[in-house]
Amino acid sequence: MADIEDTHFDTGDSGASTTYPMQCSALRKNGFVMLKARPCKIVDMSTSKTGKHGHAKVHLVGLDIFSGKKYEDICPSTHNMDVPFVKREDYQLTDISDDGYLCLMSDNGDLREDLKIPEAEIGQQLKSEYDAGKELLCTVLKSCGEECVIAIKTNTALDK
Amino acid sequence: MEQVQQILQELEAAGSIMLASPSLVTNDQRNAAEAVFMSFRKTNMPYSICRYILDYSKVDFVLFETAGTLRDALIRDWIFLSQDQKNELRQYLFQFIMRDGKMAPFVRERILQVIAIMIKRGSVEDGGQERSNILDEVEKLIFNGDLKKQVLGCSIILALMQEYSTTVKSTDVGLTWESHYVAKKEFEARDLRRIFVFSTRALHEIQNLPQPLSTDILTVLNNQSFPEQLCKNASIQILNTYLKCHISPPNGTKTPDAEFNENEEDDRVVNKEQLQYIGIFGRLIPEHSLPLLVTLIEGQIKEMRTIIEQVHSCGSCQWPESFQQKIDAVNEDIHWMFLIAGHILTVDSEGEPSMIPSEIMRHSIEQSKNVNLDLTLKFLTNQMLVMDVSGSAEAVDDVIKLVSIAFHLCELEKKLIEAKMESLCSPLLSGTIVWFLREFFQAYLMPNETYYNDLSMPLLQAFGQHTEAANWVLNYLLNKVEHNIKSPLYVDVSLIGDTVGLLISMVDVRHKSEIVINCEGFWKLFELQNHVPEHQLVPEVKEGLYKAFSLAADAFIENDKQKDYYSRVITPTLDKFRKILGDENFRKTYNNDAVRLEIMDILHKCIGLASGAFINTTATVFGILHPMLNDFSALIGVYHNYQIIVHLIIQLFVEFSKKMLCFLAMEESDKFYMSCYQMVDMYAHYNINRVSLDSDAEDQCFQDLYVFLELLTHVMSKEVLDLSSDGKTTTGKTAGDVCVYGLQVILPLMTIDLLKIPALCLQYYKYAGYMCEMVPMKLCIENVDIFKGVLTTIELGLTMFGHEITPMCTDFLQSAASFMYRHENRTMHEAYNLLKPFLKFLMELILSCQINSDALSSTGHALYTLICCYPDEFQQISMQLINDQTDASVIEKLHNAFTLLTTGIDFNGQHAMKCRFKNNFDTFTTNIRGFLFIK
Repeated sequence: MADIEDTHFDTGDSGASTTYPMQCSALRKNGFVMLKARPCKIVDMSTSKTGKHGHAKVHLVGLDIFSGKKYEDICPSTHNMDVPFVKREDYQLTDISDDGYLCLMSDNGDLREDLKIPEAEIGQQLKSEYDAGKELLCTVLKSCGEECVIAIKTNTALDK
Repeated sequence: MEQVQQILQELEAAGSIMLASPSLVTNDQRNAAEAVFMSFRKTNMPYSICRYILDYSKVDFVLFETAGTLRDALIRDWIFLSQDQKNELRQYLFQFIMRDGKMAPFVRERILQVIAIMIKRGSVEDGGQERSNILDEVEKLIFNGDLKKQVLGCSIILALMQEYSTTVKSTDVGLTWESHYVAKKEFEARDLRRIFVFSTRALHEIQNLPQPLSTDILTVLNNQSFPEQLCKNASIQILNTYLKCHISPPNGTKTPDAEFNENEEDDRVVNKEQLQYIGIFGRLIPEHSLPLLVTLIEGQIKEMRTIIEQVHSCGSCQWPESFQQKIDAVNEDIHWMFLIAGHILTVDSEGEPSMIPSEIMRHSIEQSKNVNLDLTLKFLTNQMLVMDVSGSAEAVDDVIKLVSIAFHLCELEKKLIEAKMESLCSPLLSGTIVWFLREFFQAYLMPNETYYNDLSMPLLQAFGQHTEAANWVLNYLLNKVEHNIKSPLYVDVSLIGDTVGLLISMVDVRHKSEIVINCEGFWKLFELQNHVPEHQLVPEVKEGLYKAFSLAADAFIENDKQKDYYSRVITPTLDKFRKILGDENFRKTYNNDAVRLEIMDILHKCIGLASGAFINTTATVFGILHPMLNDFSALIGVYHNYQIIVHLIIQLFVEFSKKMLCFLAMEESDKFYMSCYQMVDMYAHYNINRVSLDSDAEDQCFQDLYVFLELLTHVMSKEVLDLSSDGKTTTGKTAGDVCVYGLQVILPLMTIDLLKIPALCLQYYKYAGYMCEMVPMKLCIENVDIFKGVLTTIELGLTMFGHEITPMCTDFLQSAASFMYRHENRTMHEAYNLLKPFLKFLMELILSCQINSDALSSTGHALYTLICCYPDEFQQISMQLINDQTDASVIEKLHNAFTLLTTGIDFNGQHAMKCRFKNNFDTFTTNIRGFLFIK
């Protein structure tokens, strides 16, 4: 792992930085990028030129990974863009508190109770499936200091 | 008569409502008026009413609608009308058009269309006999008639041409696509030439041209029949004019484009054909074209030098707008001249080995009498220009002058980038030069001498195999590739493509790659990845580089050497991979962005390597990469929350199946199938029963499923195309097993909303049909639950997703039914009962005219095969469908139609019978459209 540790990346957890730079031209669809100071997933990427013999600019369209809101930006392809550190981790749902907080257990057995039931339909589904006694796996999305449950998966007998 | 008058009044009243402004009539009124016309269109036998209306109505809109009604009725009733009735009606329509000089153009057009449809429909029956007579009449009209008649004649021809062209929706004439096609072919064979000839003659008549119609282009292209000097003079003129149009003053006439349109395609693509023709002319006159291009391009380089000096003396990065315009104009001129030069020096060979064109070879041989060989070589390797070396115009080979200019421009670009003046460079021009170098490389560098009768000494000395100069050029080009990858210009997408294309073309011919792999420049490319920060290298470059590394391995015929080479190429990557996976903290570190980027980097390299595998190298590549496949499958579990990685992993499997599977021997194929199972399982494990809040969740599913289907389709092709040399057949899992299993996983993920995405829909139904055809046993009998699931989607596909999908579904039914019919004890199997409802479903669709005419042919085959399986049910259903009718005459007609449908047909599943049934079925569908006109 030495060569990886040697690189100048700051991990999101260190508190020092939540992003790292990447040359705009190396970004790709389905990757992440900061647009208007929001962590976004790139859903569309196209290049344009100022003139026939001009240099390429990259037009980025991204969806805020938390709110789904659309952001766009245009930047010269040689410039660097900020890429957010993005983590997605799975937790086992062990309990739901009366005030709507989830009790989640990570792979190594650590417990956390700081996340609320997500809004929208997925939240209701989560609750009803939990109440029905199903085993639930929650994917927690974390980036730029924000965290939320982004996906749930019912574990069926087949999966075990 | 009164009744007819009443209809006319009603129609005219309704017509005026239809055309009234929205403020004057209500929506209800308008709908009512529309209903009047709709019901008018369905009038039974409307011919005399229509004639009455055409004779007496003065309302254009009503005339237009009447013509439409006539058209629909003719298509519907065609077989019920006698030949006399049809002839009389056609004559009437002809006269009708002639009679009224002031008819509205849209009415006239529609009447002409009706006439054309009648002529075409008639030609299906008499093989074009009647049409020829009509054309005789039309010819007379054009050559003997007055202007009005001439115009009418031309209009009829035009309407006919439109009717027979493929763009016409064949449903409109009640013909299947096949009959339409037969009619079109017959028309082309019999009358098209005649129409062309008399159209050109008509053009003379009308325009009174002094000479026969012929363009210079036609003359010159057929140059064998013309004196050489005439061709040369014409070619010079054409080339000069073309050049003038594409370069700016003072030499040319081109003015800078006022606005740059981003969406416009590359000049190379848009003007491909033009440039190819100009290339032909240029090669007819190499003694003119080549020196001219050299002089003009060098002139522009001189211009560029002046600009650079001026910029330099400005001393700042900010130069006036006018400079930029000047630079752009110079770049544009050089860009065009290299496009032209490239097309003169090389011929687009499309798959054939590229060669030195004979005209250029001859020119070079002729020129070689005066050429100074030493100077020529020195010229090339020092990127010299004619304007800088006095006396070189005569003493240096013209081809080499142009190549030297291209190299000179490469050097200039390097210098500008070093001086941080890259904004003076044009990525477009840079790409054009790279393209030029690739074309040049393929045709001129290290030519296979046995292909040529004569060889030019200067070309042979500069580019021949095993010459010092050719080696030098090779290294120069490899350095150019390296430079481009490192250059700040390389971010330009098309420049990346051109650069990777140049490299790949250098290694995909064995006798050249044998030399390339020993070049210093090639290994420098390999080391390049250690110098450039890897996440700054774009994925296309990584994949392109590794594809080239892999292709180059074809140079080693000996297995051991091949293995050594591959291990040298990929070991650093493999080591890195093992180190990451072997790290005891991997369960924690996997989630770090740095580790994820490493994993992606490794995947890109593996994908590149796999995509460059070929028959001779597959065993080696597979041996090296296969152990990683299982690790990557496991990584789907680890990285299931990162679509971009999951996607790359599936992509790697796709490359395996696409490039290697067909060459794999049995044991290797087995291994690959097992890896596929593992990967599919892993994917399913993490994606079934998953609900995501991601705003692009559906798009993710689409992308995953699409690439999955791509993988399965490639795997399936092993069932058809197996090029492995061992000839063994496996006793274990086959490609078919993988495919059925994959489908089982995909089906639960496939929603109707996803199927509504056209690309996915097409890929899915293609795959389903393919599978049912290739491995029906596995699908229908051994995995009946999956078969059940697929049938649900087939039912949807028959009606829901448009004309392209319907035939795929009927083909599926045909394969399934045909398999069941041939299967012993078919009634014992569940699949037999599952398939049964489709007979009724299909028959109902046919009777309600819900099957598009393009799908009728495959529907006929499917119906035949289904009847073979379920003959009793067919009897019952047809009785039922007949009895469901209320109109006594329709009952009789439908009964007759069904009788005709099965007359002379044995339902024994044989091909000849199936074809005969299809003919009956065609008649049947045209027939029932006549009386069951339900739309």
